[in-house]
Amino acid sequence: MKPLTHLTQYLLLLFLIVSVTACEGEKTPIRVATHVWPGYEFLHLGQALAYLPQQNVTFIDTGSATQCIERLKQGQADAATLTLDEVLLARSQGLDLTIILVMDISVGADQLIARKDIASLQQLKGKTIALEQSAVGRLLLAKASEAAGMTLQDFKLLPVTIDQHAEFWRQGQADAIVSYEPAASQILRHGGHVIFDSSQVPETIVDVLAVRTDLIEDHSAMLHQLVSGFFKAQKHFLTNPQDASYRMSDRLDVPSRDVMNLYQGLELPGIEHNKKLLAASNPQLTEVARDILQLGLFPVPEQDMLSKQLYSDRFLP
Amino acid sequence: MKTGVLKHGLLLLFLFLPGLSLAAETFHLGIFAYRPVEVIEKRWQYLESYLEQQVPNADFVLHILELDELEQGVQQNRFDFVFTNPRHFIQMRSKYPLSGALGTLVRLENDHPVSALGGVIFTLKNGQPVKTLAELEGKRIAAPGEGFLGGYQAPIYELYQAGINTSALDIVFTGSPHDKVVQYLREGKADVGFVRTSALEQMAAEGKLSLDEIDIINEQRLSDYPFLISTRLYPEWPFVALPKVRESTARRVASAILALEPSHPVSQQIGISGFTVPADYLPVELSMRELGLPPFDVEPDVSLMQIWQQHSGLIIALLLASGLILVLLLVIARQNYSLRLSEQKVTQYLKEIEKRHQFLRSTFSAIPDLVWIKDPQGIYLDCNSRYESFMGKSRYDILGQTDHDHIPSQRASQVHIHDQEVLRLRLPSIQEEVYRFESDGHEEVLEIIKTPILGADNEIIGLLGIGRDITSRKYAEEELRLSREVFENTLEGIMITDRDGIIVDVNPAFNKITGYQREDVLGQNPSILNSGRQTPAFYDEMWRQLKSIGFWKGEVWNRNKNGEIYAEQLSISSLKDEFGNIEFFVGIFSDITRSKEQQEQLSMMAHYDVLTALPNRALFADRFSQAIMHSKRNQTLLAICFIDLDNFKPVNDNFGHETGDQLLVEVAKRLLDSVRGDDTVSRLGGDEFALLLNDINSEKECMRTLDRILHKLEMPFVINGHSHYISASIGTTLYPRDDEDVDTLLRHADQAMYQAKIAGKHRYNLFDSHHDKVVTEKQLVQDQVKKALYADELTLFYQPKINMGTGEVFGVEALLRWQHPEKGLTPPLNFLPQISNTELEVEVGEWVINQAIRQLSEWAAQGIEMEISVNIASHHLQQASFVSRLAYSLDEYPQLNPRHLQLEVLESSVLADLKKIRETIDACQNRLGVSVALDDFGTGYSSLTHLRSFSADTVKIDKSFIQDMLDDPNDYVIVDGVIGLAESFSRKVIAEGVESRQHGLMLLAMGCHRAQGFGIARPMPAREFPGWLKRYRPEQSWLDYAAKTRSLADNKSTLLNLTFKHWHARFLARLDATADSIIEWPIMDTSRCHCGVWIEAGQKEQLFKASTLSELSLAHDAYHANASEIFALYQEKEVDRARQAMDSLNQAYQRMLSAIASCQAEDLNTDKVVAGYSRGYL
Repeated sequence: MKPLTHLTQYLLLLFLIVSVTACEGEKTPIRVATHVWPGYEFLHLGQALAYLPQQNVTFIDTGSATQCIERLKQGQADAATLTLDEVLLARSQGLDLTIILVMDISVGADQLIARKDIASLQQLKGKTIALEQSAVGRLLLAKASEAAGMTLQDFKLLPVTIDQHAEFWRQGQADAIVSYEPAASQILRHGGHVIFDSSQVPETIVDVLAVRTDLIEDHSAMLHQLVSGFFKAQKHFLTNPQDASYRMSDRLDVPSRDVMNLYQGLELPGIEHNKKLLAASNPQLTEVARDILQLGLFPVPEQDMLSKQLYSDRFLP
Repeated sequence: MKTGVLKHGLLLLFLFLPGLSLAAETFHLGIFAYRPVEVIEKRWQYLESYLEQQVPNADFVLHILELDELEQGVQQNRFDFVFTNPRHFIQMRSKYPLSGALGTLVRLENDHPVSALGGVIFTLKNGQPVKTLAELEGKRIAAPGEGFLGGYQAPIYELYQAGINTSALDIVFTGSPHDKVVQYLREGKADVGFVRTSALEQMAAEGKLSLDEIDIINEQRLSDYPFLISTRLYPEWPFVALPKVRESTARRVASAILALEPSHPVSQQIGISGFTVPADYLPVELSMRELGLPPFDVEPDVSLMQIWQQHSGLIIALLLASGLILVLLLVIARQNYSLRLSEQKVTQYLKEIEKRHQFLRSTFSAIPDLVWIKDPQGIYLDCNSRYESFMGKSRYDILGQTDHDHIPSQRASQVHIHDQEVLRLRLPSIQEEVYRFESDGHEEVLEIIKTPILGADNEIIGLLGIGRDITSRKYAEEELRLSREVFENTLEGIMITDRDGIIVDVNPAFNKITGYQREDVLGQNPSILNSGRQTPAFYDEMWRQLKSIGFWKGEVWNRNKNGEIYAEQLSISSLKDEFGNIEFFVGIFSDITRSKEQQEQLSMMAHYDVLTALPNRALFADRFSQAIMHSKRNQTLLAICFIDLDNFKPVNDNFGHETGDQLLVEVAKRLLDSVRGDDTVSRLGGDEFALLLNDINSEKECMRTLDRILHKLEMPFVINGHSHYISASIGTTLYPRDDEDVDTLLRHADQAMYQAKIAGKHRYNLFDSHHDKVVTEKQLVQDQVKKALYADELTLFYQPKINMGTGEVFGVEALLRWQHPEKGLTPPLNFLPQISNTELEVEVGEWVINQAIRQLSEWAAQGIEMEISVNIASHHLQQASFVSRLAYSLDEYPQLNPRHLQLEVLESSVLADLKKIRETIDACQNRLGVSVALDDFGTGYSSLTHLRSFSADTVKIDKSFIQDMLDDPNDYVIVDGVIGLAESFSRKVIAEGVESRQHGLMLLAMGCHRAQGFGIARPMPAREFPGWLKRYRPEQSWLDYAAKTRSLADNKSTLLNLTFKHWHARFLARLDATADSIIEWPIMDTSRCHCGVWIEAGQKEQLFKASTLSELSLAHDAYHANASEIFALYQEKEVDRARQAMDSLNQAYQRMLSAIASCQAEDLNTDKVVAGYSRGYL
């Protein structure tokens, strides 16, 4: 009995290999818009290690998520690396995206830093908090407030772009600041301490690979390859960090010995974790999306945004 | 050589000297020679001497070996430490127990530390060009050896990843060092070379190679990595300790190598950056496993796949053939098996038959029934022992004979005929007969069963008779029949259920009471009768009792088949089996609905309104008290609503009471429809209803319900074909915001309803409890004051006002008092604020004015000419009719001098409407001739403005300033300022609150002569005033002071004298007082007390001689020093010592007095005196 099932499995495998290679020849490479962020770099690592051959996947490097979304809109890219809120932003602009991969999860990378004499969030009531004009910053602050039984209305929010965070803090213009690396380390050096960080809100701030929903069917095979190549590269990173550091240092623009430091505060979900997160029965991502929408940054009603399935696990190996 | 001998000799010596065993231990360090031995030795010898320095009593010997020699040495346990490549390390680790790596090498290249290595795949430029990995197939490849990581494993893995069949590669191994690979290529023995990273660069540095000579294949461009590289990176070489090394030594060596910083001379000599903490060699192992390199060179599982690909047809054929053979074998085995089974069965049957025969025989004889067998002719063939005892004969006497041989022939014939009948019909027959037993003569009722016995060919071969004793059954049946009779005919319903409560039987009375047929309910649960009137708890309790004591009795409301509810008196008992387990429940019940209904009706009448069947007021109150608990628990509100129908009376009047009643019933229905199930609608009587709404969360929620009710009630009511239109006015109060008892709450709701009616009906109004309370209280006081006014309980007291300089009593101030019949004399503060800004206040004010005027005229008749001043409230003053009414009052007494009436207007009250009040005051002064005083002057916001705006005749300085002016220089300055202001504006000034002689003197010194206060006289009733006036003797010191013309110096010194003495007196008083006395200490600060301020001003103004002032200042300081010492002693509770210090204080006091006296005597420096102005301290 046993050998027979194995046999069928082999047959099936054989069939799959044959059919996948058969489809491949016809297709043009899938185009992924991305920008430099530690969590996204496994895609490039995968290409460097030939897990993602250039004839199958080409990367379009942009300066920011906004440009990524722009490329998607103009049909110059098929997929993009984005944060969950950026996916929602794109959706609110009528660009239907589906998340097919969670690339990293912030577990402490995003931090709420307060002045030394402020011990708890309650003490920040009515005080000024600086943060980026992004959903992530607001979401973290909203979650922190929720944990402390407060709301965003309890604070004076001051939008400050990330490149100005450290200077702003040094000038003492805010009582607290929502920031992330590398600005967060600089801020802490100028005096301050973390009173809340993303490790306290598990599986909330996530970076994802999102695909234009209308292209999913056509690119199905490529997407399978893309995702499995990502995981191969992620495995390489975890098992041979030394080699990976040398390969990634160029793009991340740090010496190879500092590459690993960039991953502090980032959880790298593997295949199983991804299966769990993207399972249709798991409401986690939808709930986070709802939380983000309730921040009221996008004008589109929640039902419209979440009426279509936000994510899919069909490309996970 | 010489030193060597000496060394060895010494070594031997040490060995043979007992107790001096400090012999150095020798450690062997195996190093893998990846480069020429001499190159490595030249460098790494420094490590040897370094380790000897660092590890005491240790000699280190380096062994630089080829891989296989190194391997052999490890095998033979010759080494203590090994420094080798990761590949070899993993290999060793899988074979021998190692204590692990102590450190990982960090190389130095161009001042750049590197702790990772990889492989380089290269060709010589002049050879065949090779560009990609794929082109390596078919090329000759030179590699140093299979055991090399950078020189073999890393490049191979790269090829493997690129999908190249690595087993087919043409590789030649050159052996160590890597230099040989380059040599092979140069010699044309190979096209492509594999070396580890840094090897080429080192050769270039040594001048053995130019990097321009070579091409790198699959070059990895890692900006941060300083070497040429074609592969992935792996951790650098580990420094390994073998298990035989003691842990302490291993630790020393580890710390020694880890201490090698880049700047360390040894590091520099070796040409490395140092060592770092051991790296994770997992990537090396993983790639070895993937490539199947030793020791992981076992055949992988995947080969099954290859077998399948090559031989799939054969495998399938083989599988099919074996399957077929297996099936055939199975068929044969099965047939064999069934044959053997049949054989066994036959033997089994035979045995079984024998056994059964035996069983039958035993059964036959043991059976308690009478059993006999006859042949068709009636001859006994067999019988059992019971039949023997019936016949009274033994079996052998019976067999072979007929009945005729045993029983009377007539009976025997009957039996025989019956037997023959049975045989003929070939059917069994059953009959009951009473048999008498011959053995002992007892009788039994037997059930006789006769059955023909048929042979194999269906012919009759005999007759079987069985006689069963059914005597006891017969009795039981009789009893059962009786029970059944009772069961069937009793008037009480009976229901029997099994232990699970499933109905197994009911009687006809059950059918009569419940309407259910027997077949309707069998198998059902009695809950089909449940009316829902009893709570689940009720049934729980019933079952609990049934289970514990097996019996329950009570009254239950059930529902019959037609859905009607009936009451039954029910008793249930449980029937138990012999083990005490409950088997059945029997419920017996009778219909007591009628009596129950009567009871209910009575209760209904007590708690419900007969017409509408709504709860009445009593039940409403009851429901409310229940709802309170609920409200408290849930923190919700209760709404108590009072509903009164609008336009109901016309319906009653025009259509009669019957229609009115029907309308009320309809209203009740609509109200019930508008509220929730647990709310209460009650009829209080007439067209008044009350609602109790539970679980109200907000006023808004309550209002929504009320809106709904209003809306429902405004819909037309159609009664007897007529449409009637009514509406409702609703008042509501919310408990516990309005925390009162139910009666008060209903009253509040009623009040609120009344407000709704007033506001135009058909609406609701919410009772405002807080407002109500304040208003109620105020109203109460107003009512009382009003009553007091009419009952003549109000009265005026008069306080004299005098001129201190002349002693003349020139007027009185009229002060309102309430002679309360119970509370006694009540000061105005207790009731005037409650009536402020009301009509009553005006009324009282008018009364006061009239009273004062009347008193003026009364006293005038007695020859007492006085000014009476009366206080006028702001609200009163603002009355449009104020002037005309005052004129009217004055006209009553035409002989009166209106100037004798003075209106005291509060300074603060004139704020209200400046223009209007000024006009009023002007009219009073100019048209009516009455005088006006500004009362409580100095306490308002803009006293100066008022003084200018109002042509008041007099200014009254507020008593708070007067009382404190002796103590507090600030108050003194205010009083002095007000007096100055009044003088400047030509107003009279009067001081209120003069309580002592000193106050008077001080005021006189400041130039204020008019005064009023307890120090002169308390307020008194009018009748006492003439007596007081007669008895009044003015204060002599005041008269004396005023009589003399005072120099400025004298006046100023008097002030100083007064305040100083006052200070002294107060100080002494405080000392004598108890610790918790309310008397405060005077101002202890030398510069802030009156005298201090005086002296400072004196020094600044230079009015007095410097010498006088200086003595004064010294005396003052000395005095204060003494006082402070006493104060300190007092604070420390050193009372005795404080007393002792009093002497010197008294001396200092005297000194001060004489210093003040010399001031008084002095002529002022007149140059400095500005004529006519002497305000301030000097």
